[in-house]
Amino acid sequence: MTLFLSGIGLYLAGGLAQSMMTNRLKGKIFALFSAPAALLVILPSFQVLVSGQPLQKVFHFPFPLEEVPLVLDGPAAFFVLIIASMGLAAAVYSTGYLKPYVDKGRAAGPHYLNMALLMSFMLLVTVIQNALAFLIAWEIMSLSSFFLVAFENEKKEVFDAALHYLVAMHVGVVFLISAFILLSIKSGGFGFNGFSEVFKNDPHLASLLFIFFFIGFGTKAGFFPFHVWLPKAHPAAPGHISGIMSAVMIKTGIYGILRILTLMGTPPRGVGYFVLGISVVSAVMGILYAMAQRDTKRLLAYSSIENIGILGMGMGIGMLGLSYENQAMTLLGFGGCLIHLLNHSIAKSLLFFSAGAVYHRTHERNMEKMGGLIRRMRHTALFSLTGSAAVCGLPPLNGFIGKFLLYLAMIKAIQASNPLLNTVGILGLAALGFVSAAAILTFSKMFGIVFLGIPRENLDGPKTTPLSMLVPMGFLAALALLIGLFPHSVFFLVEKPLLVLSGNGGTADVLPVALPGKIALAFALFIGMTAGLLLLRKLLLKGRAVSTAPTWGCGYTAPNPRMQYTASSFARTFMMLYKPLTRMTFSIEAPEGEFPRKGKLETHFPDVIENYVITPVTRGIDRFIKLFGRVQGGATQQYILYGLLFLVAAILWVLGS
Amino acid sequence: MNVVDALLNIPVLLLLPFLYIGVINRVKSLWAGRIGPPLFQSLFDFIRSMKKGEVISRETSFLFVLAPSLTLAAVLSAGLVTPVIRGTSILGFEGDFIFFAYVLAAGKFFSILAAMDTGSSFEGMGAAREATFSVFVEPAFFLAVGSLCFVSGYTRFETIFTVLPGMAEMAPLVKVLAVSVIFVLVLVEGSRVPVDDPNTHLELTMVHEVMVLDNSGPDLGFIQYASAARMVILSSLIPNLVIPRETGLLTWVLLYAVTLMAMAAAIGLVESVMARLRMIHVPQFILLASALSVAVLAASVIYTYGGR
Repeated sequence: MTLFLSGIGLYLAGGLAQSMMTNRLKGKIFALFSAPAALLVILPSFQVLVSGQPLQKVFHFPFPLEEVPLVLDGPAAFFVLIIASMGLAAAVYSTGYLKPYVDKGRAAGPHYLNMALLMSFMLLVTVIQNALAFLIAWEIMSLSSFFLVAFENEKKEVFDAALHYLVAMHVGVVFLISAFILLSIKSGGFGFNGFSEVFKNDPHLASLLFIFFFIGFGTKAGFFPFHVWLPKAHPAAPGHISGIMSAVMIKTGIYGILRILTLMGTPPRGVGYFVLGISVVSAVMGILYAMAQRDTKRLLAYSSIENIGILGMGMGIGMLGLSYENQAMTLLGFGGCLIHLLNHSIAKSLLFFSAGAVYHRTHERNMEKMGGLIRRMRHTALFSLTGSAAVCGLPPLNGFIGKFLLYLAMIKAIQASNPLLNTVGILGLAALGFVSAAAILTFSKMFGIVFLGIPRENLDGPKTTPLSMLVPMGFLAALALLIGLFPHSVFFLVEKPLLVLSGNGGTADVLPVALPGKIALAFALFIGMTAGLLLLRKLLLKGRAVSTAPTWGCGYTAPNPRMQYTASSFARTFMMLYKPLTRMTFSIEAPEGEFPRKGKLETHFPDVIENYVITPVTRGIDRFIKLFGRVQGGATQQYILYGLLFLVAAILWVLGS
Repeated sequence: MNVVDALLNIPVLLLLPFLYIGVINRVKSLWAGRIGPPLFQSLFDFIRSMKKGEVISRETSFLFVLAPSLTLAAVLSAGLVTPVIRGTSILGFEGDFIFFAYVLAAGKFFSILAAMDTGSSFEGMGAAREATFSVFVEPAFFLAVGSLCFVSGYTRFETIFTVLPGMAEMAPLVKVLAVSVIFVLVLVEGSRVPVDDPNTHLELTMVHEVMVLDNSGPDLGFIQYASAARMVILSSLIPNLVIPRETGLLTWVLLYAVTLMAMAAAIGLVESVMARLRMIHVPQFILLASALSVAVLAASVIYTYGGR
């Protein structure tokens, strides 16, 4: 535990040390501090993941905190591993990404200080087991990320997005505070270990509390009706911050829910169905919106909502497994959830980093203007392709492993001897299949339009991508491939966290032991056959004429880049089928007359929740608050009158009693 | 696992695709009153394309070269876990049908990207259609296999298909429906009428054909072979669903061959008597597969819970 805490100290020290350096050095200093800091927090986590013995240390503070236990157990260690490694990749990446801004004279100091705070408090959130201290850490985490999002705050849309994020986080935290307060009153203290009793004594209260926690943590995680901040904040934030937020920070929401689950013991059945239902909706709506986007980072943000939904499905099945005492469902559900979480962190960081690299080179986020970037950005294209294939769960990359377990979990639900579970399993299975195929459509669109084909517009920018951006991407891409080739590694990593989550203290085999070997073999054969066929092709073509020619234009002889299929047209067939769900708006001004002028076609995909829930509600609140406008006249005399009236009332009250 | 059966899978999977296409075309020719090309014409075409050079679009990247080989490798990898002879697969594991679906999807993903790589609007259109249709295929596949898992109580292809044909009391309805789902999937995945017309000459109406407009030589050979092999792999599920495993090897193989040829003939017949659906109706047709899968499920639920 000392190692872990000194790691956190090193993050903070890095945050302070960089503020004493010149502007150009700040990023490098922070990255330099991040590396040993990450190592220091990863080492004890690894020890926990191997031994299964939690590390802990109890701090004593004066009232109101009092006893604050820090516990690094299985689930916490798993999250620490992800947070530290993704954070390090982002820190290195940021040195390259922020360079153009720093060169223009923007101060990077506050940014890196907030990054240090974000890293330290994300790590602390995973170990603190005292409600009040947890909320403080949670709040610092939210605030520091708010400042990170608002990096380019002179742009109106960035500032608006950051404010939106701040408000969403505080709406979420209200639910957390109320739930924690209720628990503290019932248990008589802020310690997490006292909460279990409350959950166990009153199942109805437990369900209600869980739903409060789910809304609170789910707002951070981005479950469907609480997701609106995500597609706003991610495009606004700098590349590495979107990466950290999507890959790691939103996962702290999942961590929170899982932690509450470990305290709950056996969750009531209805709660499991609730989580599963919300997750299916998140996954389906997330991917439908992702498909419609033209802004690469907005697309990725919606895809994060989809993936939170997918891993939520695993969590739901795991919870149902606990309620119905079905060991296989519990282990496969939670196992799939954790493994998918890790894989999504890797793939999504990779994708946000490559989207950031594209922005760095082109200053453009609208994919309709891109195209053909694979020739200008060979490495980034390769990394983005890896990320896309991984996030779709395609073999032979890591994404497959988590989804595989989730499918198996659904099958176990189908085979359970309970008709309701069977039905839910079947629906979940179909939803997973649908979402995965829709993800393939979404990411083939994103990669195809951005990197392939012919450049649609002339996008000028820096000629090269700095090594400091390429190396973290390469690291993540290699990780994606390695986990795919050696699935044993992730099976091993989730073993101890699963023991905690399943409430199973024993050391029984957690997941099917033979599986990773078989998957690895199938992957190896797939890669081998691909390589073999490529070799065969090469041998066959040896000494034969291989010529190049223009793309076949189907008889048309003067094609131009503007005639290529666009992102909107690529998704159109599908989006038209789902028009009622996504509320697509469509306006057309067709060219008319003998000498037609320019025509116009517009399609928009407004976010349903934003347009039909959040906007009316905020407008309502606005109107309600305006009612008090008359009281707040602004005239000094008026306020003096209020003061006088208050004094009179107070005197009367005192006299009366 | 029966080693002989597993070894037999390899030549069957590698050679049958040519005959399968041959039978489809023969049935179509006979229906049209022609004799038609030789049964093994697609094999001759394959050999000829292997002997040719290539013309590659200058707009393309390494993906265009990689995709045909990867797609074929994906189909062959799917073949590894498919139960072919007497329910035996070469490499079976728990949940192998998930790998089956995903490795095929990987092939699809890369062929879509290769089509977009050329920058041709027609190929982009084909790619978009392919991607759109597959969103409807995946749930149908998983629903169908999910219900088979439900009925059989197993989660790997090999055991599912070992148990199922022997379940004599199993409602014949479940089997009939499952066979129909797989048949629809073969039509969709093999890009046959009514989803896609392999003989069309207008790019605007194509799906798979238009995606490979720029491919030639060995690459084109790989792609066409992969498409035929994909049909054979999916079709192989049907004989495994109906022919009991205890049958002797020779009889089993004979029955298997007859079933597969019957399927090819059925595809040829469908193609002879009807035209491709309008693009807008294709998703509805694929949804038919999902609907059938739900019916399979309903039938199996009745079978499981109603019988007791």
